[in-house]
Amino acid sequence: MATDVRQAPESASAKKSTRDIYLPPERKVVTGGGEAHIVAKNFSIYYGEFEAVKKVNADILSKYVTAIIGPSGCGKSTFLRAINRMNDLIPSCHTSGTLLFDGADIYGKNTDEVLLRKKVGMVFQKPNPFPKSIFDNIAYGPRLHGVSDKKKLMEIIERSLKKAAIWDEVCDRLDKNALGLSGGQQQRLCVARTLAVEPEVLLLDEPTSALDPKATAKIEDLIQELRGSYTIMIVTHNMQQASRVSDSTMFFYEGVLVEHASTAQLFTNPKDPMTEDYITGRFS
Amino acid sequence: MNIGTRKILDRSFTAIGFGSIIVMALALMVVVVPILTNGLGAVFFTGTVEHRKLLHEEFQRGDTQDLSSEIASSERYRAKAYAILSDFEAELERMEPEQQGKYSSKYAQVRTSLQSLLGPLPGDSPAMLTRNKYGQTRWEKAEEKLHSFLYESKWDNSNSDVMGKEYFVRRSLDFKGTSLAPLFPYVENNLENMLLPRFTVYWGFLTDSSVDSHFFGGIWPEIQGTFFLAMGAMLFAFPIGVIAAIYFTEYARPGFLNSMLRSANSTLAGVPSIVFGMFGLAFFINTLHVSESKSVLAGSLTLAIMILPTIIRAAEEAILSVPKTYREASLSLGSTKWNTILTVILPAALPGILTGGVISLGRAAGETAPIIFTAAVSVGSAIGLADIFSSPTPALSWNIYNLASEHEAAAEIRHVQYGMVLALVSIVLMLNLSAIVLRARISKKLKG
Amino acid sequence: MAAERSGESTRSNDFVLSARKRAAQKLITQFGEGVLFVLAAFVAIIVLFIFFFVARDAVPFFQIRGFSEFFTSSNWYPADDPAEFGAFAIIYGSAMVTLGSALIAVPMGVAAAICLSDILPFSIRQYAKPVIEMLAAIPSVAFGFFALVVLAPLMQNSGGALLMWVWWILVSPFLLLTVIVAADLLTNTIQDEKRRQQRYVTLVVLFGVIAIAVLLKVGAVLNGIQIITGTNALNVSIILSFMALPTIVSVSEDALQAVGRDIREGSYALGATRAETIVKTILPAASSGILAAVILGIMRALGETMVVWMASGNSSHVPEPWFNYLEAVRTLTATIAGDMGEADQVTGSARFHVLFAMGLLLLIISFISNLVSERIVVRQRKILTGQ
Ligand SMILES: Nc1ncnc2c1ncn2[C@@H]1O[C@H](COP(=O)(O)OP(=O)(O)O)[C@@H](O)[C@H]1O
Ligand SMILES: [Mg+2]
Repeated sequence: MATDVRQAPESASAKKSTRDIYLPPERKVVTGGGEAHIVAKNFSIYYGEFEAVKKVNADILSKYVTAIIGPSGCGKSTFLRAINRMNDLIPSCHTSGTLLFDGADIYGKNTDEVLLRKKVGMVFQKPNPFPKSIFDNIAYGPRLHGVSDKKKLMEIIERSLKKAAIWDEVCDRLDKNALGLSGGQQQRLCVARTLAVEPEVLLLDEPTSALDPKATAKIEDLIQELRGSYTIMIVTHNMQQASRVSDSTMFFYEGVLVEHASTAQLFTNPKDPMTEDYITGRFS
Repeated sequence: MNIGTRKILDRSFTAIGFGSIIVMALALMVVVVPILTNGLGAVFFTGTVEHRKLLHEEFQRGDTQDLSSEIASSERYRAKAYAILSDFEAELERMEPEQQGKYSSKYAQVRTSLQSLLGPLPGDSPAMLTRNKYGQTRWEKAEEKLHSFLYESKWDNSNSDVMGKEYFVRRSLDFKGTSLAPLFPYVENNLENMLLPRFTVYWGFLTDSSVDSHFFGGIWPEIQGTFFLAMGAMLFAFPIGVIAAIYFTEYARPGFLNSMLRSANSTLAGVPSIVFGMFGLAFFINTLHVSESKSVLAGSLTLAIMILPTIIRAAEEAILSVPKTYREASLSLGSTKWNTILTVILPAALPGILTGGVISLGRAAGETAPIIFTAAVSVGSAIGLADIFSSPTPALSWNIYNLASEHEAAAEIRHVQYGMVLALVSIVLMLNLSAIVLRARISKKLKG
Repeated sequence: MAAERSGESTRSNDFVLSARKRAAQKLITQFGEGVLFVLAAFVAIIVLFIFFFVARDAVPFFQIRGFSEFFTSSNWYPADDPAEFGAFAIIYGSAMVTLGSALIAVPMGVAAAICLSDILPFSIRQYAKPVIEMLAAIPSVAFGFFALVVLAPLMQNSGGALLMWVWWILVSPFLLLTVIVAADLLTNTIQDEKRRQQRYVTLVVLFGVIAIAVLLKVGAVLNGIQIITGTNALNVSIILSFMALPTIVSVSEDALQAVGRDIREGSYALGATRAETIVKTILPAASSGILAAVILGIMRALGETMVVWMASGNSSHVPEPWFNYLEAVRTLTATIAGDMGEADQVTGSARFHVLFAMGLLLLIISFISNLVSERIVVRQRKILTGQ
């Protein structure tokens, strides 16, 4: 069963076409990226009877940044959280269709969601550091996955904090409580914490909606830094942000994936009239 | 109604509310203040030379030289009184039998009264009970005894409609003209010299064993017993309670079974404490035979059952108040559910859980009814740690009852009772207070 | 290309386990959950055990002696030969002190809860709460000691005067209010303002004189009362009410808090005073929660042992007249506590089993009250959240 899925016969052809559709012409092409990393096929998500995400078909390209936009309540978060199975926490939530990660079924019978989440990291809307020291926050993931050597931990922590562009700000107070940081710093700490587990995919659910413009700019810069190393999906309310940071963009409306195209195209030449209405601000 | 009346009604309504809160505060004061003031009297009091003699002889405490010089000085004054006594005894010998009969019973009263004041008199056979070996150790009691030495109490029952009235007659009147007459003014004027009252701080009240069923000495066995029982109860109830709370908050799925378990929890919380005692007797002792008869173990188990619902509730509340985002963060980093609970949720819930635990500890320490049939004995010395599986123990709560209601001389040892009550109340209130402080401290630390 | 992809995907897809490993993993998780469940179910097991073991030793009593003597006779001579086990007076004593404490604690507790939730500013509430918590924390034996050593002698020596003062302090404000309200209501219909004023003043003076006469007369009667024994039902009722108060206050306050702001604001907007808002809208909305609080508070009083054992006088008879709170009584809990030591445990005499019968009675009452109050709370929550 599992081997069947791994071979994923259709995904090769899908990959060809998606590359053409989604690849950003105006942006720097990422080497080694651009394959379909996450593939949704007729994928629906329900809360009890209510179908919050409806029959989505989409390919998410590896190492590129994909933005998800849409009015509030349209199922953006629900879709994003499905990718690392955070929806398992909600008892009424269930799915249909398939969602593949590197060709393997995320909702397959033999999928270990804990191992999956190690590969698919997530950063949430509100910064949520643990009430522990900065060190322990970052070390939390590596320790879980078996790193206990202090020197090795320190290496990982330094690397993650540097990647998340917060090393300079916190390197002299790693033993201080993380809750003492500012909101923007906390959010970058959360990114660093996620990076420390070395995931392949980074899911960001409105990571800047709780931050001020300055902190937002820093997070956006950070996303640019990480582009090319991770497959990034970012849910955002802010269309400027989507156009600034992403390579391709998905527009959701009432649970339906209305349009998925390269960001440049979606914002300059949307195919669907609904997308046009949304990006021109006729509704939100 | 006109608006003025409505306003008056509104004001008085407010006044009633305020009034009831004030009444509650007063109730607390009225209960706590006498306990506090009288309870402190068990440690801080005006002690007599008898107290120091007792400490020296029973506990080998105090400076031998100072004490013997004190005793010598007090004996100097007592000698005169003793001389009067022996004079009168000689006079009594010489009297007519009829007169002798008239005086001798009254004289016996005087002698007993003086004995209780000063301790054994010359010519007494050696005292069997420690309580008869010493005179009054506390000055305020000595003054009471002096009064009953000087005055005989009589009851006026002439008016049969109302209860009899007590009145006092000077004993010296009975002995007018005899050689005993000078004794009364002499004792009255020289009692201080005979007893040498001095302000005393007796910390030993908390750390000494009792002497002669609490006539003298301290309450250490009770304090220790209370400690053992409460800690034992925590040892059983805390882990089970926290685990049950984890189950209820993290794993239980809503449904019939779950609501049954919850009902069971609130039922257990409502069971009268004496029924826990009966259950402990019927189950732990008579059925499981955890011990031959009463034991600390049986008592701890019974108390554990009693405090279990409180611990579960507090832990549940604490766990539920941990933000959902911590859980999400941990899981999204690839942590298992169990690991998330252990490393993120429990540490964050710790202040609440510990608060509940400390308050339950106080409850276990303060409860009496569950240990009456399972663990408590009235007299006894402090037990060793090894004995908790087989021996019963004295405990503060039980011994307060016992000394106040069943002791043969309950009114004589009020200060001990008050001291015990104060010890118990302060242990319990201090636990509660530390719970509050703990909660504030740790939650501050968690907030960074 | 295909080989490269599949090589990459074996590295990348390691979150998909083999079927066997996944099954084993599930088994372990379920086993762990099972262990947790068993520990959580421990409480339920204990409850069953308590019922079973108390009932096991209670049933023989009813087998030996039947029901009617226990519930109807007042002859309690368990140590005599032949023994008599009439527990009516004891059950009555329990009911009496419970009712007495409820009469004191319920009005005070509800008033205090209203005060805490709706009247006091937050700054004062901060200090009021610890008072209640402390009152709840004081061990029952300390209350019992206070009742026995402080309150009982006080009642015995100057009970009449005490009653008189309590009567004056508590009742005079109420009488004053009644006078004002009655005068107001009676003059309400008069249209002419001047005549109304005159009538009002006359009525106030008239009623005032009557009220003062009543106050003085009843006060004098109370002052003349001689309390034979300080360890009586009144003493115990007062102390038990202190102990029931914290429960009543905190649970009622929760119920009052659960009534939303909008209901309050709606009432104020219609021009109601605070008292009217509370009495006419908030209290009805919170009534079932308050009822639950009252039940829980009463249960605390009924189940209390040490206070009644030490300070009720432990005399097994129905007072005369039946409502005379100044007589000594005896309660179920005190009987259990006091007689267990003397009862012969080993041979299982009726004397031993009758105490378990009493325990079973207490257990059943507390169980039912708990269920009822729980249902009430659940129902109120449903109503308030509009489900
Ligand atoms: N836990 C839940 N239970 C039931 N319905 C939910 C739950 N979470 C979200 N929904 C519903 O699913 C829809 C999509 O929600 P969400 O994905 O959070 O939207 P978005 O993130 O786009 O604002 C909404 O209509 C919302 O009401
Ligand atoms: Mg969202």
